[in-house]
Amino acid sequence: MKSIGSYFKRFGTGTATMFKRLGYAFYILAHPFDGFFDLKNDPKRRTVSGSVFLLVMLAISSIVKRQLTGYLFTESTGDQLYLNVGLEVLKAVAPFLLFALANWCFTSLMDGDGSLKDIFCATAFATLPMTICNFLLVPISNFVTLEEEGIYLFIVGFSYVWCYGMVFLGMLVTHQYSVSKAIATAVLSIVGMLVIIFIAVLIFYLCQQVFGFVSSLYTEISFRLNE
Amino acid sequence: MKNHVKSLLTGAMLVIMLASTALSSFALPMNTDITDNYIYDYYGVSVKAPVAYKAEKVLSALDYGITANFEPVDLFATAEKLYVVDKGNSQILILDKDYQLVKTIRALKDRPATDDQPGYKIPALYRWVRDENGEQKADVVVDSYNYKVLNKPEGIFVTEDGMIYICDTENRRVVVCDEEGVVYNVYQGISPSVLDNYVFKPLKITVDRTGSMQIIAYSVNRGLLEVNSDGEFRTFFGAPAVSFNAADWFWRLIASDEQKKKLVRNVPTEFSNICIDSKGFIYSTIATVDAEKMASDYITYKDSDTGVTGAAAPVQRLSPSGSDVLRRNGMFSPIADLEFNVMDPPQVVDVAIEETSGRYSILDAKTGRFFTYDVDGNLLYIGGGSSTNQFGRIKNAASIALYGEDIVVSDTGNDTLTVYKITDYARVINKAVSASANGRYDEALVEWKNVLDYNSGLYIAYTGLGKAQMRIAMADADLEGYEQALEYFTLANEKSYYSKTFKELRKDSLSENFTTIIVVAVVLVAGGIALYVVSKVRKNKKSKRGA
Repeated sequence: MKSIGSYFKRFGTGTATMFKRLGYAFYILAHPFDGFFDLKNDPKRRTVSGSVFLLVMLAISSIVKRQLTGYLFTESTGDQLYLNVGLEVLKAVAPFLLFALANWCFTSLMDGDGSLKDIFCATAFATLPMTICNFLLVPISNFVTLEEEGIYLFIVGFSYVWCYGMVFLGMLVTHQYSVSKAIATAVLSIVGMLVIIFIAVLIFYLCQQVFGFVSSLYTEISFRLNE
Repeated sequence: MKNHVKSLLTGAMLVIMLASTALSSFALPMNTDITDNYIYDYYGVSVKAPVAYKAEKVLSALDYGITANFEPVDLFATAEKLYVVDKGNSQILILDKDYQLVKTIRALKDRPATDDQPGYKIPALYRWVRDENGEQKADVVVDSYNYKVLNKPEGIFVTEDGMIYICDTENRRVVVCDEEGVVYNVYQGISPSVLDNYVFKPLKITVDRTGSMQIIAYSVNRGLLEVNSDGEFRTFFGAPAVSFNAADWFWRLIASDEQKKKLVRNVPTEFSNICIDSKGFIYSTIATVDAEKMASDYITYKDSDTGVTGAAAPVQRLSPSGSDVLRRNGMFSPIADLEFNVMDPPQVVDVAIEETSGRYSILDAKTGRFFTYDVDGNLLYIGGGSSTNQFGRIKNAASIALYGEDIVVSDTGNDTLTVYKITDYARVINKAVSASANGRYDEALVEWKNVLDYNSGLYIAYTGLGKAQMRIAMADADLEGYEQALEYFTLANEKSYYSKTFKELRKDSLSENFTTIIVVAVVLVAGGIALYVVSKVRKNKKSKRGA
């Protein structure tokens, strides 16, 4: 029987390996083609726990950005008084998860090489620029005036372009696609995301209806019984 | 013993009751109601506000011994007198500070010659025609008996030396007279050469220091008529630029002639009233504004946005060159009610200005409310209108005058004058605005804080506090003062001033901590170089060993 200590030890080494592998995310920033290729094909590189960690960091960074951005770059006074953590996490992470899912749905039909795990890892690693820029924007937003808002807006735009570019390249490399096919797949993936959202909303609505029906039925019956 | 306890109890109860009434009356400043008035917050949503002006008396024809037809279309206030144009009875009423009738101008008199001046004989009313050179020429006398009285006058202006300029509308002339009705001059037959068969009918008038007149004339939509003191037409003045949109142009392109006739014609609108300040700037109002443009432009969050301009602006400030220089630096442009129906927008019919602080009030005929703005275009308070009580309710507002501390609104629906008395709330705001406008920042700081005692939700009070605090802090580069100003601007949601203050704060704090920053930077750079060198040396050693 293993001692509890050994579990901790295993967890410790596992975490250590994960962080070691995460360093690779910075390599990918500079060398996306080689980087994403190795991420998929080298079993030493791929790390699902690391990917989850990167998405968690993205969520944290967007919450930090929302709460600590300088007043000049917020919507209006008092915005930061109300925070819904769940909503913020969803807003930050959901698009990437949805993309990975939708992309997997299409690419498995279109000779894509990547598994769902591969796509998930590539997408998560591609969010690093966004995380970095979010953290960078917080001090900048507290130091520039409205006259220099160009600096701020440029970094915001840059973070989006860089991040989405990385997502695109990650997909391209993971599936071994040509550029034109990758573009087509990207467009299809976005459509797929919308379909998924639509179905989710539909199911939610149907559940609501069923629940409403059952609850009204219950009310009706309980009234009748009480008569 | 029992009795003693009883009386003690009663006494205690009495004290408590008295104290509670005292406390409850203490909570609200005297002379102010918290209900029945509103202001707009920085989202443009109406919120409750203390009453700024209270209707105190309603003056009707009976108060002035007039039996019928009283129709007060225009008001003009000097420091001591209020002039009321009674269009219905073709007369001018002159009221004193207590709104008692002092004089009536009805009949006009020739001015007899004195030792040093020739007299003036009122000319008859002529029909005016153009000769072959295009000059206006008196043709035939059309009226030889009515010319010695006023005939449905609509506008009035009184100069500083007491000369009264009356737009004698139906007699198609401008009469210059004194309080006794003694005429000094008459201007008639004024006609711009570009208008054919034009009959001059003046409606409103202002006179600048040089004696030239700016006249709103009937059915002229090219702006004000600028007329010099000799009665010669000089130029059109200040017409709002017609906005031209692509969709309109497109429809016009494909519409048939029949359809074109039905389309609204794209012409500049006419002014509804004018008012001049001592610097010669003319405040003008437009009742029929381009409501759609107004609705899309009135929010001005940043300095870069100009707000409503041209035909969409209900109030303008015209420079002597004719361009609109009204400051629209508030969150919203001065357009009367912010929550309005585009099909049924506010109709701004008159404006009155207060010189020393640059404050001005505009009057909306649709609701009978008046809106007072500071020189930057921040809405200060709202008054008048259809309040819940019938007293002081306006049916069809025609003109507004700031008379001392009172605001007088004339109503051509009820044929009355309504006198609004200032409350403590508005008085404190006025003081604060005046202190801010005249650069007395320490006083402004105190006064705006007083305003917050009455209405802690008034965002412009925080703007005022922030601006004053910023100026004070700028004087001696006081970093804590800047921080305080930043807090005020955050409360007011005033980003542009926040940005300005922040820039100053950044500059001053950088220069104050310059040495520290330089030292830290040098240490960091030196440390970085040292690390680099050390790692290089180590690498070299390693590679040598490896070799």
